[in-house]
Amino acid sequence: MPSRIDDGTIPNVAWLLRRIHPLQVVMDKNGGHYRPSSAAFKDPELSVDAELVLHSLGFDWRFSIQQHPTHSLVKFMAKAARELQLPVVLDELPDNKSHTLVLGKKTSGKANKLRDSSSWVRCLPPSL
Amino acid sequence: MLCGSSAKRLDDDFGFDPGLTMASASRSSQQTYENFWKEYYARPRSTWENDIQKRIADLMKLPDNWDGYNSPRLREDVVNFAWTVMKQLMHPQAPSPQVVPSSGGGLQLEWHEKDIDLEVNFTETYRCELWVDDHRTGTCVTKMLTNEFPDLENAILLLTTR
Amino acid sequence: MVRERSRVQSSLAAPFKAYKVGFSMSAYNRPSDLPDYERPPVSEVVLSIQFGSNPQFQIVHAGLYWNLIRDHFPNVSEQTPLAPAFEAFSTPLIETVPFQVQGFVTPPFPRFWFESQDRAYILQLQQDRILFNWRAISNESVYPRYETLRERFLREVQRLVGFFQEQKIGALSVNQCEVTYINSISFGKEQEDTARLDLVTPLWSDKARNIGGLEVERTLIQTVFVLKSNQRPYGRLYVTFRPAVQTVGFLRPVVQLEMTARGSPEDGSLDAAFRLLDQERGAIVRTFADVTTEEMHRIWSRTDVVR
Repeated sequence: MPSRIDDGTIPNVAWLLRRIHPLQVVMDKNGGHYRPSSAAFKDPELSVDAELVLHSLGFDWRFSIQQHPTHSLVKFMAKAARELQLPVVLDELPDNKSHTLVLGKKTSGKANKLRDSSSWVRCLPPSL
Repeated sequence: MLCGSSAKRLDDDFGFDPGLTMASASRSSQQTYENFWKEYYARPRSTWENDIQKRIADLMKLPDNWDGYNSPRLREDVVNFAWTVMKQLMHPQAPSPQVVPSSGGGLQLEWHEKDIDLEVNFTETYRCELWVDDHRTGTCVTKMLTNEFPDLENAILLLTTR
Repeated sequence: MVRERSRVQSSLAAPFKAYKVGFSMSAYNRPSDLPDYERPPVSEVVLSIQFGSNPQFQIVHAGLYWNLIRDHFPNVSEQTPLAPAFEAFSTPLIETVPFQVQGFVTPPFPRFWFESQDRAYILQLQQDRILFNWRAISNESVYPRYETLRERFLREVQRLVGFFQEQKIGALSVNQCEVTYINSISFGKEQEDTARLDLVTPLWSDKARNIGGLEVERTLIQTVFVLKSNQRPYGRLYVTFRPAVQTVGFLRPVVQLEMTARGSPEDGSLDAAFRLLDQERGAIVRTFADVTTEEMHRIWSRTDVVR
């Protein structure tokens, strides 16, 4: 059980990596590009990987998708979550020291702001 | 018929079935006033209807932990509720939504076209969240919905007629 | 006021293993302001509770469950499951063709009928719903009244909740409650004519019999009412008059008046569910009095009005 208190272990400028399942990549006809669905950001315990921890261990973003080669990947800053009053808490797992949780209820508004703050690290368009 | 009741109906030529538990499984399709409207909305089968049903059939096959983040599989009752709502609100010419499973559970329908971002996320029966962002007017609305859907209906109408 | 209880009721007093299901309910008494009749034309009543589907509840459990109730419901058969029903409110009421996602992954869960020895009572069970029917099985059948059926249904639902607990299936969260009354209305031998709906209901006029000089053969009336509480809709009441043939006893044409009230409870608890069932039953009984004629009330010996 991770600590529920955001003690600032993850700095504001840290990039957080979130995998996007192929079913959660949607077409934005307004912008003419694929975007991650906000549905990918609605888990009240949103799992992400802290990129700076990965770097300190000699890994990079590829670590996050090594078990999920068909998934896309986005990144957003810890600051973006905190600005939405969503605590960011390091939650190390035995096989993933970079595992981090973005806690709190994500309304559609908050989920879309998180999505707006994110950018593709890797985008695999869904197979049609 | 729900059970072998004491009376047999003579209503084979009345096709309207309000969805009661008492309703028989099959009814005549002879034309009546009610059937006219039923068939008006049902024929030709809307593109969105086909699209959603196919997509849902695929999504229902997802197991627990389908996203690698321990998200639960889709719940049948939530999907059925979403279908009931959409079937009631969607005009035959309405554009097809993109149907997405939500991390943490739930089913989200979303449209990103005609300068509108429209999302409706069904998390339980009688519990869904509407989010509409109209880029032309700058209006952004978030609302929790239970069993009344005029806001969603208006958003879909705007999307259909713009 | 007839308070004679059906002979069948004696079989309802069977022993019942009490489960602690986290709530208690006192006995329910008939509200004093409800219209009442000595001989109501009720031929069937169905109480139904729909709950959130639970993949842990499998067909094999239905067999285990039957073992618990077999003494009271010795006959079993399988039926096509009822489609899930929800009442959503927007501007138009467009009939929704049910769409069942069940069966995409797992085999479809049937609807089981567990019938009493005399087949007057049916407990129905499917993956997301439990229903309890009483139906007239002969001309001598006496409607046992809502309060009796409610009490029995509550016990069966409690039994199911206890069974879910025992089998670690999970909690039962109610999302829809439904009450249906089916009435078989006849005019008497000299007026056995299902076209004379004006004798039964003020919703139909005798003038309609002569429109265009054409002879009316059959008439169906369906009215859908919105049920509201504090100005907000919580369900609908479907009222349908249709021609039918009485099959209990000798065959005779009747008008069938089917009334179904369906809505969503305040929350998923059994407490809220039974409160809603009571509310729906009240709406049905009051509306029944309004959509039937005083002449028919006299035939059924209405007891709550001074003449």
